[in-house]
Amino acid sequence: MVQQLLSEQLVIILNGLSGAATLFLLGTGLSLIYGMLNFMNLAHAAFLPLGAYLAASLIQRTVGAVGGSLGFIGLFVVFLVLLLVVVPAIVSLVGLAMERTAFKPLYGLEDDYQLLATFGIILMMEDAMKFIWGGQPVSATAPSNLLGSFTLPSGTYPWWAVLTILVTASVAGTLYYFFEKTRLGKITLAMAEDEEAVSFTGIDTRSIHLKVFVIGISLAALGGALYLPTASMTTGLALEFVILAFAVLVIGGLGSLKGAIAASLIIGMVQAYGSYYVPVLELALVFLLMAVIMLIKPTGLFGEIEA
Amino acid sequence: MVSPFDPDGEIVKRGIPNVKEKIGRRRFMKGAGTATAAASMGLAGCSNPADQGTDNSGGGAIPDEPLRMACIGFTSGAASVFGTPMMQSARMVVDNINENGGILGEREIEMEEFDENVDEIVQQYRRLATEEDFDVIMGYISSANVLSVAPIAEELEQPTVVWDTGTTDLFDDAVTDPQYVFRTCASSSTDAVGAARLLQNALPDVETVAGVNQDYAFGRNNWDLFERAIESLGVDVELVDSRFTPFPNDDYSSTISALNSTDPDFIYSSHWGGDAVNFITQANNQGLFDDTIPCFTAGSHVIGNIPDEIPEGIIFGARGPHFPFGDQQWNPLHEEFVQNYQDEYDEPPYAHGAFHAWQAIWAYVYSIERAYNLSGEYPTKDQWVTSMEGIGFNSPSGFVNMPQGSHNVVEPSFYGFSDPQDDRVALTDTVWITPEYVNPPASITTGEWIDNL
Repeated sequence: MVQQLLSEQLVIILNGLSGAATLFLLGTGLSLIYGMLNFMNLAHAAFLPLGAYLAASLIQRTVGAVGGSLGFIGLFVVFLVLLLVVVPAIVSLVGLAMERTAFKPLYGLEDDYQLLATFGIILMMEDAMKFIWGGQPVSATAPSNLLGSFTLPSGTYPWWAVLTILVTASVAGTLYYFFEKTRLGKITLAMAEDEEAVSFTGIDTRSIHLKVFVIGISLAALGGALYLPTASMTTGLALEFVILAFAVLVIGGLGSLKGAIAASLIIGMVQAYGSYYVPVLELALVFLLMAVIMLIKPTGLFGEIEA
Repeated sequence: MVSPFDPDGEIVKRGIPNVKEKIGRRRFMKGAGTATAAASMGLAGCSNPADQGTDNSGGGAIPDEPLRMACIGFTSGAASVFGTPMMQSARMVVDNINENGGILGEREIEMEEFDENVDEIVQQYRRLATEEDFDVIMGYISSANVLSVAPIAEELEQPTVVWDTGTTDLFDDAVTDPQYVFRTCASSSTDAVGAARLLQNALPDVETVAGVNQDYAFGRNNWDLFERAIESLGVDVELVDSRFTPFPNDDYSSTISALNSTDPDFIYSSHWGGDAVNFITQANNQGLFDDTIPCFTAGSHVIGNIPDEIPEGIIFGARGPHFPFGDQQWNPLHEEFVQNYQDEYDEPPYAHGAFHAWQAIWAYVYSIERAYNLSGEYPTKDQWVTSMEGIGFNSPSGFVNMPQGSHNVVEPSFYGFSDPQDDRVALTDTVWITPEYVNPPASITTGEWIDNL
């Protein structure tokens, strides 16, 4: 009985953490781009499905081309390279191209106009993805199937979800190290405070802008790539992700890495426990949480920038 | 636990539905109200309208201008996994009719497609009915949408054929005295009462049952009917959990964990669309189906979306006997439809909506042709209504009929186990339950009928 209860709790926590992982990878990018670049980019959420769709195509082609010839370890390594490196790299290039053409003209505008324009871009990106990958759900569960599941008294649990949690935790650690310990990270943080002062020192702030933008986009793409093997992509999900990414921003605070981590964990856990114990309130709980945080601390848990 | 069906008793049958040509005609003559419809138009002697389609015996003038038909379904968003095949089928059926000259061999159909994935569904309907002046509006996959639109259709006296939504609230609650609104597919009653009878008659080993349904009109309605049917029929099972998930939804991990912890023998789910795809994929990953029989009443289209994710032994219903492969390849129309669809779109019509689109468009065309052949004149709007009431015809899914006094077609309940094969997933060990046992009589509401089973 106790073992069953503990097993249930472990599964709920794992569900919460894997949900938080996707939210973190998505929300951090949005938060960084707003915090560092002062650019409210709703279209950011569309890079997650883009990563997922691309991952699906690459996985399907890989499985079709090499099949079982590589063996467990060989295939696993190939999947990891594809999902952790190739997908974020390709999506970053797409993001970079879009930054130059679609986003750059919007930088000087008021937040409201940025919101409207980037919302339009997200719709166009959705349609573009529908055009390329079709309206039917796209799935590629080969990586998850390869890893299989482990057994608990309350059912089995996929190793892929555990891998997602571990990869995201190391990304969070790396980002933390980057911002706190490296020169570029510190310059980036300084830019968020006073970009003009930084540019007076001769630092090319435009190049740092681009780097932050690309890091954000590649995190979202990574989120999509890790998400795909346990679910499927359908058009329309980008808009759902926008809402969740926003929840991360509001709860954690704009532009705060610590806030993004905390908010993702809180939302992930609230969703996991909510859908387990009070499924009726699953959606409401996240918004309730947002409302409470905004009432108590309008800048979010760790945010200092006024919303 | 995967136990084979062991049907006994009178109402649960194995194998092919009892809908062969001869029986279909007899049932039509007996129950579809031919005489009433014919008498009301001052004529008598009607038979199956399917046989009268190109006869042109009426003799009166047929309008020169094409018939304007609006078709509404989800062609974007997660639900497009279901709506797109449906719209493709509609297009194919209309093209086929037009290639043969059109309605009565003379009047072409001008079909326009509209996405159901809009925020202002009522405004869209009003615009189509009033400003764009469509002769007939075919549509709706979402039960929530049709509940909003149906009363407007009656108010505007706009001929409307609901082609796919399932909620029984449509004629039990939203429009209790329908005139211009018809539904040419069976309601959720077929799925829910069918599944309850399936448990009672064919799955006697099942002791615990859980439900997981989408949190909106269709999912709520389905679970309510199933729960009431279980109680009313006195099926000896314990309902251990009932969950409603957001619609749409992409993360089912906690829901699945919760279901895993109650470990039911049988799960009733009316999930469909992208939700069904995600739920099944993730449930497989979390081992939910290892010792549970899942029963998806409306999700068979996922087989076309994720064939590799469908293990053996999942029960699929298709809101009636609509499924391209398996034991039910029993009628020439079925084989012809599946083959044509496959040739046209390079995929099989796994989505039952593809079959429902066929039924809706032909129901309309047959009712026009029937009225014309009986009265000698191209029917007015009200004559069309009279002709639709009691319509019956053969379809790819067997004989379709609308009992006299009802505006809702009845269909048999149909379930089978998934059976992955080399190039497809078929349904095997199929079970069907005749319409009379899963649909209420025209005179009472579904709820009243179920409570007195």
